[in-house]
Amino acid sequence: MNHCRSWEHGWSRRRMLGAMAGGAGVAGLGGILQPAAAEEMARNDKQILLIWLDGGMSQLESWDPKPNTPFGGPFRSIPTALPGIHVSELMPKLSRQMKRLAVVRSMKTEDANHSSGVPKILRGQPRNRGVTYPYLGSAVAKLMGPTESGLPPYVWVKPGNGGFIAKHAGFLGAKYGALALGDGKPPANLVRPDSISSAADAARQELRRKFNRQFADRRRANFNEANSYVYDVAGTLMKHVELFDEAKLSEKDRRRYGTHDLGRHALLARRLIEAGVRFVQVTSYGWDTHGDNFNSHASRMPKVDQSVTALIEDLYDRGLDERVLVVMMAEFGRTPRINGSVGRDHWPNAWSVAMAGCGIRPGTVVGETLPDGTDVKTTPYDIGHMFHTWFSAVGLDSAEAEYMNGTQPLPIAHDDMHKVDELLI
Amino acid sequence: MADAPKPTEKKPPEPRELFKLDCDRQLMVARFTACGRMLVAGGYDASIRRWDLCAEQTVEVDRVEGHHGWISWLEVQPGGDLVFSADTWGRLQATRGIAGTPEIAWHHEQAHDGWIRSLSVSDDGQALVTAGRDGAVRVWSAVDGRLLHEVKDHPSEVFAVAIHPAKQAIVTGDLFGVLRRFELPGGKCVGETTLAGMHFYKRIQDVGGLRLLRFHDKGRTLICAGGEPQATGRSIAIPTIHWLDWPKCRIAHTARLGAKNHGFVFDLAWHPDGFWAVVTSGQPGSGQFLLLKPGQEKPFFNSTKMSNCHSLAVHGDGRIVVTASNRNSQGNGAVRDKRGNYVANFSPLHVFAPPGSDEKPVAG
Repeated sequence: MNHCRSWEHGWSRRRMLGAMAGGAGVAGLGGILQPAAAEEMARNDKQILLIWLDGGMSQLESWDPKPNTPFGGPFRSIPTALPGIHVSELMPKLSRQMKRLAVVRSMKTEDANHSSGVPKILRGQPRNRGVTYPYLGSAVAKLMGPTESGLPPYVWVKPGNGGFIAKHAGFLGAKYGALALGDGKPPANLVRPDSISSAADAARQELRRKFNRQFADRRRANFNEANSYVYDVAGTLMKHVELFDEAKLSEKDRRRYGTHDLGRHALLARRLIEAGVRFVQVTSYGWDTHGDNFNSHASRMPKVDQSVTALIEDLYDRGLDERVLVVMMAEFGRTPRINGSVGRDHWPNAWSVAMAGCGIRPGTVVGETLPDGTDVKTTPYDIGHMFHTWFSAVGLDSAEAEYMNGTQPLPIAHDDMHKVDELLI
Repeated sequence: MADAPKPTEKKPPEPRELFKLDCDRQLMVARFTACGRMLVAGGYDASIRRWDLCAEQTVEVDRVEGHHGWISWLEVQPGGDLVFSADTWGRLQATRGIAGTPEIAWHHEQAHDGWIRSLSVSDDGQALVTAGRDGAVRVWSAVDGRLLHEVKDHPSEVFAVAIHPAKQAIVTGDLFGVLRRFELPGGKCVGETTLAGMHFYKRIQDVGGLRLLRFHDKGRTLICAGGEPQATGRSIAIPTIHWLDWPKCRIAHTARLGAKNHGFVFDLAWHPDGFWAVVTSGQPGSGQFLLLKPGQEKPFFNSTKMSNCHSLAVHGDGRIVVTASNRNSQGNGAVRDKRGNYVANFSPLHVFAPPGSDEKPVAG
């Protein structure tokens, strides 16, 4: 039998106001908090850049090495800029950035499957209330809205195809989905062809809006809102086509970030952030190293080391570290036990997450695993703790802010969890 | 009209498993000592494991310590008393008297900066060559460990190395499936050959397929073994061996030994009865022990009973030992044993009589 907690039934003035705001459909930030808070949030210039290593990077070959132990693997550990802290020898450049980073070595989550684990981690795995929560990017798009740049608030740079990925938005509604830039390329036909004059284009857009209004009268608002939004986003991006002009990139930047997918995409992410995109996610696929784990990481980690270091350096050099939160994570880590295929399997039991920038206390290592890496030794942290922490880092009070799903107030992060103060400035 | 009777196809004799040795840790490489008395192996616990084959019952004896990380390679000195071992932290070691009371003859703590990928000993036992992740290829005196020659700044990461029996050349195989021939002395690169298919790139990962080089037939043939990778993140590759005509550096013969789940050739050895013994390891649980006659593309014996085979060695008496992995070595999350412990996987060593032998399996 399920026992309701007081939280579900509490109906404070704050929640009532939130519900009213949601019902009224306040533009942009409708559905969260009071209008005053929404206005404040619109002035918030904080941004987030998530580097997602899909499939599960090994914590033992990165942030939490256990050299010369039964599960330690072949690699050495190296000292970092932070006295007493070692990382894998596969991250020499990041090791020198440790005074700017914060690492949680005591992540302990529940799901060891990709198909369910990825959405759980990216949604912050809140308590089940029968609704589909948004991915972090969609949550930020909703809670903070676009920056003053007007650029789409949630851009996903990924290998493969692009498009508008509405499902990330969950109950928030399709318009908070991800604008996915496949291989970092802009949406097709972004630039107005020369054969169409500016005036003709404006007339076409007006005609489209008119048809849209007629169409919308007979359909659900959410659907049409998202449909119109995609066009508006394309219009905004048209004003920033230079973002996608690789010819404008300096040779030095290309070399620093690397010419591989992750390097190119991380460099684009920096440019998107500089241009004002609220939330950028860069995804690298193929980290599911059930076989040949060590050769895989020997090939992959130097590319992460290179591109993430370049990113951190640039954020600091440009003073963006005070307003941009960078997070690097996956859906889980990898097993200490090495299988017969010289691989490591899925391991949510004790893994690591790294972060830097806005609101984060630099040079911090939180938590510890057992000497052989088989469990968390200190207080374990779940993804819900990280969501509270990251929201707090960018100025969102996750203990107060709520979503409104119709008239249902919902916490923006797991209500049994809290921010990790050690990680925050 | 009645069909003519088919000629009876004689099934070639097969090797028979005699007994199995236990090892509580995972092994990467196993070899018999030149004298044949001891089986030596190295792996994930950085110690040289030894089994005395002359004892009444084969038993493991004291380990030789000194290495770090993993022992990545181990070879015995042809006709000599030394065992050369290399590890993933860069240590190179020569151990004397390994069949009795071992002592370290010489060692270099930092023969390479990090993982020594490959080690090869000359036929006369007087020189050995190593290649590391640090981009260096080094030739050492087997007798005293002096550095004899060096190829610095190899243009790419070396996965495999071999020294020609005449010690006039070394050959490297890199992450990208490229063979390079270097003159000795001097270390000048005198030729390159790309083995198409022995490299794969996707999703920021290079998968190297050229993992083993071995000279044969007095240096007239170079064997290039490994696999043709088909994916990243998993051991998905077709195990492949190329036999190259060394003077011409051209592929004379190729054998593809299985499907893409079978992975890579991890080790091979020439058997005095006139065939190649080969082991492969692919997806978890997928291992092959194959016997292959020269010039043939299909093995005359293929056992898939052992899980993920990583090494083999041929004894002077014809016996073959295969190191494998325990079954069910994979598993997401904290897979525990019956007592609730989170335990490491291990490597059983399977000892086979050569094909045609009437030796009986050892009971128990």
